[in-house]
Amino acid sequence: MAMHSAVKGKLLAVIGDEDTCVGFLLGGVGEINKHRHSNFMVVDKNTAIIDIEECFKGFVKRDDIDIILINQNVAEMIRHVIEGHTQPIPAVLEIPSKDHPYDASKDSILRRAKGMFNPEDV
Amino acid sequence: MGLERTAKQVDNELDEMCRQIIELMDDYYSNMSKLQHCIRDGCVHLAKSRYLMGHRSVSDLQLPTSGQYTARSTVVREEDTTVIHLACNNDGDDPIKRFGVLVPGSLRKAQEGFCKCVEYSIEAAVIKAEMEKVQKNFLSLKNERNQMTNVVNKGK
Repeated sequence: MAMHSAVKGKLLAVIGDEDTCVGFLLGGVGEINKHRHSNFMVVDKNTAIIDIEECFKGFVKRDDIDIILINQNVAEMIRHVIEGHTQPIPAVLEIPSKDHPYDASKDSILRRAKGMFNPEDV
Repeated sequence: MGLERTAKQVDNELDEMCRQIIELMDDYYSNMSKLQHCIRDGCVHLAKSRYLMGHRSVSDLQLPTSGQYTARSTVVREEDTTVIHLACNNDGDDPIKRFGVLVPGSLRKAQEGFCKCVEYSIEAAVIKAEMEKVQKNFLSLKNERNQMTNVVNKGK
């Protein structure tokens, strides 16, 4: 993959469990801007769904975010909000986590693509 | 005759788009499999680091919460295309320093693993953008084809 150094690009945001957030922070995607807004959210069993929804909507509104990575099990909790996001930017990617392997049948982009081959959905 | 030939051309284009979307779905799925493998390996290395350093030393307590903190890995999107590149900014501190000065090798391996995850995520975003583009073109062409069929049916 081509890498561009010394170019200020757009951010990747992460919504996921502790290990996913810690891992991607180690990967260098974490940022806190001058308004003290971070680009990640740790979701645990005590996190309310409304908080996840608000966080997701906040990331979608931000123009410095290009890709939103969200654990697939967390995406399932706010499926109606994710289905409502149809803009290409920011791109929403449903990623697996250590406890929940990737399930292609739940991924909204693959579901939409499969719909092309179903005459009732097209 | 002219209309029939055009309809055939449209059908061929629709077939070609179906082939493209199947290939893209396959690419997306294999990319996600690689990403899953990478995340799993990264999490195993994080767990090893936790065992060596203590469970509170590798947790969300090390995530930045205050002050300004700049991302080292960002993305740059090429104009008018679906291509996205990874942009590395090495000016800021290495994020591994948030976990200590002398960190175990397993934490460095976890970092390498999650750096790869970032690359796979960007590849997945490129494939996704391409899929959305093909889907949009497919639907508009499908509408065009339906209109052609309606015109032929009315003529009969």
